[in-house]
Formats: sequence, structure tokens, C-alpha cells
Amino acid sequence: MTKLTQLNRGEILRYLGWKGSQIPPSLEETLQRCMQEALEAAAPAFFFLRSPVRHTPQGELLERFPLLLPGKDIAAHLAHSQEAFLLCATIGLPIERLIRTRLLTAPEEGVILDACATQAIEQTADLAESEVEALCRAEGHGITWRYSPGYGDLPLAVQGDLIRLTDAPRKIGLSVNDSLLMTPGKSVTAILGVTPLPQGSAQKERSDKCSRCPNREQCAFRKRGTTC
Amino acid sequence: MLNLQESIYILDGAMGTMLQASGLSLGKYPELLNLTNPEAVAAVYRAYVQAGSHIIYANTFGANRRKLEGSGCTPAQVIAAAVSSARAAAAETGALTALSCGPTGALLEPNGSLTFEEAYRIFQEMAVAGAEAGADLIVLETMTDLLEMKAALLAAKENTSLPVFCSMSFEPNGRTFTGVSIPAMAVTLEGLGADALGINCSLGPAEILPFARELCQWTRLPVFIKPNAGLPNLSSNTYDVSPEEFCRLMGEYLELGVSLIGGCCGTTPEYIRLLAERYGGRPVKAREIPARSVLCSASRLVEIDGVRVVGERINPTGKKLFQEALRKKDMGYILRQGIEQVNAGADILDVNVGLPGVDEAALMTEAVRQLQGVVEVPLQLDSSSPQVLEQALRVYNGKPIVNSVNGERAVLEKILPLVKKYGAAVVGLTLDESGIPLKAEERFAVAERIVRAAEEYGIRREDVYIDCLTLTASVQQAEVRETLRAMELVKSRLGVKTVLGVSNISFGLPQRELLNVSFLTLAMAHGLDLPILNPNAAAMMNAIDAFNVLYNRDPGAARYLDRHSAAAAAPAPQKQGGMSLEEAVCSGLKESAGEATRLLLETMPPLDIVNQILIPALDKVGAGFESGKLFLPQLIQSAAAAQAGFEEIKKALSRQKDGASVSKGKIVLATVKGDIHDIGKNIVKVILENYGYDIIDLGKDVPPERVVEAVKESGAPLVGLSALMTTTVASMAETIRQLRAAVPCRVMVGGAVLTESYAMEIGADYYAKDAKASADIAKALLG
Repeated sequence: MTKLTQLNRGEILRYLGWKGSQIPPSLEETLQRCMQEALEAAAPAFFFLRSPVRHTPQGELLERFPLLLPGKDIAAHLAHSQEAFLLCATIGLPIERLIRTRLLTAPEEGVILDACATQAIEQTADLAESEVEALCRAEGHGITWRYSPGYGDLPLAVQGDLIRLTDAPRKIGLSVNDSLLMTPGKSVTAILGVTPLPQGSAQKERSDKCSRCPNREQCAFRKRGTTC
Repeated sequence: MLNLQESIYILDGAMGTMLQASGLSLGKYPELLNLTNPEAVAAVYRAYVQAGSHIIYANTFGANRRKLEGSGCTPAQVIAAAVSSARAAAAETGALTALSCGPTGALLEPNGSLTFEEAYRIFQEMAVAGAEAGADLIVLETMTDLLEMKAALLAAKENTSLPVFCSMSFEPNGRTFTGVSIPAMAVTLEGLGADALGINCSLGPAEILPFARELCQWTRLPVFIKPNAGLPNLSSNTYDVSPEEFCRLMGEYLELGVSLIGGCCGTTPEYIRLLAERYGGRPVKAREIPARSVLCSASRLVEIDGVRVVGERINPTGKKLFQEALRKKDMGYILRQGIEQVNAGADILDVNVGLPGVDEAALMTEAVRQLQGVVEVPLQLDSSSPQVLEQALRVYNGKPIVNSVNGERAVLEKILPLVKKYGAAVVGLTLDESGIPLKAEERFAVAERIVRAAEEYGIRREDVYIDCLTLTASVQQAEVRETLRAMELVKSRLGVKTVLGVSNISFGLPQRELLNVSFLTLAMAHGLDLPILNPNAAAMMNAIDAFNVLYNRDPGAARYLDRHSAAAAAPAPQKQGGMSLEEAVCSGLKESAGEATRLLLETMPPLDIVNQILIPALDKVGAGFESGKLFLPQLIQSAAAAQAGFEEIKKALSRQKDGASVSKGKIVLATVKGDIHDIGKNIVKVILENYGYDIIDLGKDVPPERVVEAVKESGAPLVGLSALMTTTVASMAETIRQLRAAVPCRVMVGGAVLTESYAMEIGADYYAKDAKASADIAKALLG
């Protein structure tokens, strides 16, 4: 089983809206304790499945499943890809119970734990992505950045099919409810295109992802001058 | 039918693996192949029957309403086709056909948003269709949530007369994805009337073996095992154990006393053929299962093999604040009482929410549901109403204890069948129609009657806990010893466990704790297993620690040393005295804020403290938050400190007779339908509460109708709605629309994807960009 060794304090503070003020020692202590608790409660798990991509007029078709991804944004994302990976990652349910319980007894710790959990799932998805990247690099290929259902004009409705067709509930306990929200809540699904270039593209495109995000006007991170 | 205690039977192998191997794409609806390509499915059935399967599973794993949505077919259509085809294939050898039911695909509350009742209806539809189609049995498999399994098992048992086999999937840590342990699964499902218990999928035969061993030690039911063909490679979907190796490994299961074996993902008729040849028809090894008194939640099993503490605090009797919380349906209050007791060392929590004028059944069910989302200890369901008990027993995830029955025939006849049906344990009070007998022998006689009645209903003796009833020393001093003697008799002659509410002993006498601790110690020495007490009372908990050392139940005094050596060495905590209330709130120090408020209350009217100190202090913190000098955790810490102050003020006000209230007005809060992210709403709640508003918190995933109803009922002039996702802003708009049509109130909205203009567009009155802003809005509107 994957285990995370350390969470990124800077990222956690960023999620909590910290703007550089002085952090009192007692709060720093709480923060450190919460980071430790989150690390212990997180049960990271992920997998990825590879599929040929067919560019059809109805959308990008991942033939293996088969899963159709409609919209011009995903078409642009996979424009240079003959193959793509579907990636599913989660940090499991126990951390959700921890957050839920702590919000009741010590809300400030609950909020910090929630930010820690967000960092933990980001790290888990990064880890999964780096495995995909290594695999592709060995073949002389590169990958695009992680594109998730709900980004751009790719409907969130794709989420249900993606999770079912990859057998994610059985593999890592990841399911989706009738409103297309994932349980466990701290989970990520994403589509990564295999690109002809071994490197370079992923980094550049990532910095550009806000321009395609449907939430760019409202984004709390952008309001603070950062990105998610 | 099969005789599962006698002879080894062979199950089938994978269906999906075989269909894929024949070149078929399973796609979104693998079960539709029953209708679109019945021959391919039938070929798999035949292959397993010919390989020697005694039971084959129909291709109905995902044939439920939820998973078939959008396919154009109903579960009944798909199931009828699958079962009749399987039966035709099975007829060749006289094999049996099982209706296979996998998970719904959505997680139940509290992990997800599917309700128990919805899950029940989904499985009910499948079970009925399976029985009508002629299935010989029902297999509930690959489950990871014990509550979902319970819904499925009840649906199958209540709507068909077929045997029901229950199988769950475990991860390498020995738990399912939702945290279910093997003993908890075994104890709960055997209690609910399952006909066989099993483990399938997820891992290979080598990895499942120790889990099967544990399962065999915890259940008297036949055990069935269907491992994958080795450990799966999640990304390549391949398995690594050959048929020969699989067959060799499965031999070890027979040593454990397993009755049925087969394979799950990756296994083929070749695997099954080897199993059938080598093991089919062999005798089942007998298992010795000791009688144990246990209770459990889905994730924690508590064995009553020594003194275990039942926390008594979730009970409104004589508690004004608790009663108020119940009337306001303030679940947070009840949950905090639960968490606090568990942190203080409670092993079991008694849950009693009976109060004149409240809907006890609804409150009980809600309390049970929500408590299970935050504490792991088993619950003691405490009510005198069979209806309340039954509703709570249905949604309880695990094996609870029912409190209580007594020697009255009518009570026994109403409640014991429920205890049996839902696989619970039960408390029996030694009283009857003629009251509490005075003499120990008479109480023993009642206990004997209760135990006999329980056994008549099929409830095992180890699941009966006798309460010999504490009488008050100030009134019935002579009878105190009778309670102790009765307990001794019950323990030695009936061999059952005992339970006792301890603190009644001291009513009407000074220094109650002195009597309580002494009586507790005597009671333990006379055989008390489950004291019901307040675990926050350190002296009581300490007495139990001491008892366990003195009675040699704490080997090497390890637990005692662990809990008490630090206390002896640690210097007394330094008091942060002398801090002003304003300072305490601004630095977010709860204890200091409470203490400062208590001091101020000696010289200042309560409401003046609120208006002149608490609110201005919170405003100051809010300004710091806005300017970026403080960030979210600090804002919340300060709110919590202010809350400690408010608690003191509420207490002071409840002592006043003129009924002055600290409440500055009511606000209804909800995370809208479809949205299960309620952390933002919870932060807003904490902040608003600490500005003195009365919050009616409807929780998450709240339908518009419920918001309207709550506003009508409470007359709240302000509603706060939260939505995190673009997709759920639509249900926020719908909620506002319904509110507008029904009641005059103002609506403020907030959430990650909202903006001022977006908020106005969907018809809100106010946009709250953060928790501080929501407090500003409330202040402007309600003062």
C-alpha cells in the first residue's frame, strides 16, 4: 500500500487562506499535530488504465472501455494523443470520519485536517501521475496534464461512467453518488493523454489550465492570486 | 437443498473474466448481455456446471435499478433472463442457481448519500425478481459496507423465503474499504439471520487465508470463500495465480472448516474443475465456536470479558440543556456528548432521546445514524417503545444492545422478537408487574424468567444482560445489599452478564461521588460487567482501573501504569488566570474565555457581557480576518473561545427566572440538495452561533421542501444556503424559488463557486463571501 511520508505545510496554509501573518506557536503546534494525524489516517490508493483514443465527431473515444468524452476542450487536450490514461485516486474514508468528528469537537482542527486531506489527495494524484509519466517516458513519450470531468466543457456527468467503467468502486473503493460527487470526497479522477514528446508539454500546459477552467471567474484561489 | 455442515460444495468462478475472454466488451451494462447475447452468458454457465460447480451465480451482480439506469431495461427483465438461463444450464447436473447481488454502486450515509431505505428498496426489487425467476438462493457479494449488506439481507429475508449467503471483500489490512472488521461482519450478519458467510474478491487465496481463519473463529454459520486468481494488478487487470497453485492453496481452507469454495475475478472453469476434482464432497471439518458476549459497530467489536463502561450521558432526564437540544433537533449537541464520553473511556454508549412532545422514533433513528458517523463504539438503544426500538435496530450498523425488557410478559413478547430478528443483545431489568422485588432471590427469579423467555425466542444466554437494579441508599438502605446479592446469584447460577446503573445509589445524600465510587467497587466485586455511568467522572473511571489491578484483570498493571503514572508525575497545569474575556477570545483560548466569563458574571448582567464584550471581541477578530492579519483557523478558534463564554452565559440565564434569552434570532442553515460538502456551512454555523444566533442546522444534501418546512416551522427570518459545486447551484436556485413561493424570509448564499452577481442571478438577497460576511449580514438584518 502506498503511504505518504510528509505533507506540504505551505500548500496547506495556502488552502487555509493564509496571507503571511505570524502564526502563534500554539497554532503551529496544532497544525503540525493535524498534519501527522492526517498522514496516519490517509489511505492513499490509485490505479490507471490505458486505452487507445479515437477522435470522433461526437468526442474523444477511449476505445477500451468504451468511454466517450464530448466537448472541444478535451478534444484539444487529447489532440496529439493516440492513447490516453484514465487515472483514479483516493485517500479513503477513515480520514473523512476523522474530519467529521473533529469538526464537532474542535472545529479549527477539523478545518486544518480538511486542508491536510486536500494536500494528501493532491500528493497521491501527483504520485499516480508520476508513475504514468515514468511509464511513458520509458517509451519515449510524454503526457499531458491531468484533465478531470467538469473541466472546460467536459461534462461532470462523465464522472459516473468513468468510475463505473474502470471498476473503481471495487478496486479502490471509489464511487459516485447521484449528484456526481465522489465518495470518498478526497478523490481525483483524471484523463492524461500520451503525447509524442517525451517532456516539456506537461509543465507548460499546466500553467495554462486556468484559461480553460469553467470556474476561473469565481475561483477562490485565483482571487488570492494563486492556482489550485 | 445442500447440507453445508456435512460436505464440501463447489461454487463457480468469474463471469466477467470469461465474457471478456470470449471477446465481448462488457461496457457500462455487463448484465445487458443476458438479453443481447444470452448464448455467450449461457456458455459460461454451462462451462462451470460441467467443471463441477454445485452452485452457479446468475449474471445479475449489477442488475439493480441504480446501475441499470439509462439502459432501457429493468432489473426484473435482466434478472428473469439471467436466472432462467442459469437454471437451464444448472439442470444438466442438478446444480443450484444463485441470484448474485453486488453493491448498489453508491455509498450509504454517513460515508455517502444513499439512505438505508433507498438501498433496501433497490435490493428488495432484485430479490423479488430473483425469487420469481426461480433462483434457489441469494448471494450478496463483494460488499464493503456492512450497513448496505444489512439493507440487502433484510430485503432478501423480508421479501423472499430463499436462503441468503453474505460475502464481503477485504483489503490487505483486514478491513473493507469502509472499515468493516471480520468479527463485526460475522457477529452482525449471523445475528441478522444470514445462512452462510463468506469472503470474495479483492485478494488472492494466499492473502484471504488468514481472514478466512478469523471468520471461521467468529461464526457458527457455514463459510464460503471465493478468492481472485491471485493479487490483481489494478492497472493491467491481470492475475498471477495458476489453476494448479490456486487449487493447492484452496486446500488449506478446508482445514479451517470452510464449507464452500470457488473463485472470483480471474478464475475460469479450469480452476473450478481442479477444485471439484480434488475437494468436492469431502467432509467439512467441524469447528468449535466458544460462546462469547459481544457487541459491535461495523468497525469495532467489544467483548464483555471484563468490566466495560456504558456511557449514560445521552439521556435528557433531568438535563435542561439536553432537552432544549432535543427540541431544537440539535444533533451536534448529542454527537458531542457521544464523542466526549468515548474520549473519556466509554466502551458503549447508551442512547436515550425520549422526551414528551418530541418524535422519539425520528430523533432516535437520526441520533443512531449520525452517532455512527463519528464514534466507533457500539450503542445501547434505550427506549421503552417497541416502535422506536425497531426503527433504530433497522438502521443500526452492527450488533447493538437493547435497553430494555423486564419480567412482564407483555414487554417480553413485544421486544424479544425484535431483539432476535435484528440480532441484538438485550438488557433485562429484574422487575415485573408487581414492581421491584425487595429480596435478592425474588429478583433472581425474575432474571431467570427473562433468560428463559429470551432462549425461547432463540436469543442466546450470552446476549442477555441482567440489571439487578440499584435502589437509593437514602430511602432503601436495607435493600442495597440485596442488589449486590442478586447480581451474584444471577452471575453464578444463570451464567449471564450483568449491567447496573450505578449513580442512583447516592440520591439525596451529600458527597455523592463518594457513595457512587464505593458502590461501583462493591458491585464489580459482586460480578458487575457493564456499569452504566458518566465516564467524564474521573473517580469512577479510576475505580475501574484500580479494580482491574486488584482482581488481576490488568496483567502487570499495564493499563493502570499507562493511565496513572503520568498523572502522578505531571505538575498541576498552570492556570492562565487573569486574562480578560476580550484577550481570551482574541487569542482563541477556550478555557480562559469560560473562566473570564464566570468571573464577569459575578459583577455584570449576562446580556451586557454579550453586547459589551463578547460581540465586540468577535468583531475585532473578524476585522483581523478581513485584513489578513488572522486566517481561518484563528477565526474559528476565537469563535470557539466565544462559545465557551456563551455557554457560561446560557447557564446563568437558565438560572434566572425571568426567561431572558441570549438568542438574537433564528437562522436556518443548509447545504443544498445534491451537495455533500458541508464544511463551509459548518464554519458559518460556528461563527453565527457565537454571535448569539439560534441556528437550525438542516445538514447537507437537504431537499428544498425541507428548507421551506423548517423556515415555516421556526419562523426564522433568515436562511443561509451553501453549495460547493457548479452543479448544485441549480438546486440552490430551486430552493430559493420554493422559499419565495412559500414564506417571507431573506436568503443569504455562499460557497466556492458563487459570486455576488451569480448570487443575485439565482434570486438570493445576500452573498456571503465567507463566514465573517455571513455574521455581518445576520447583524444587519437581525441586530
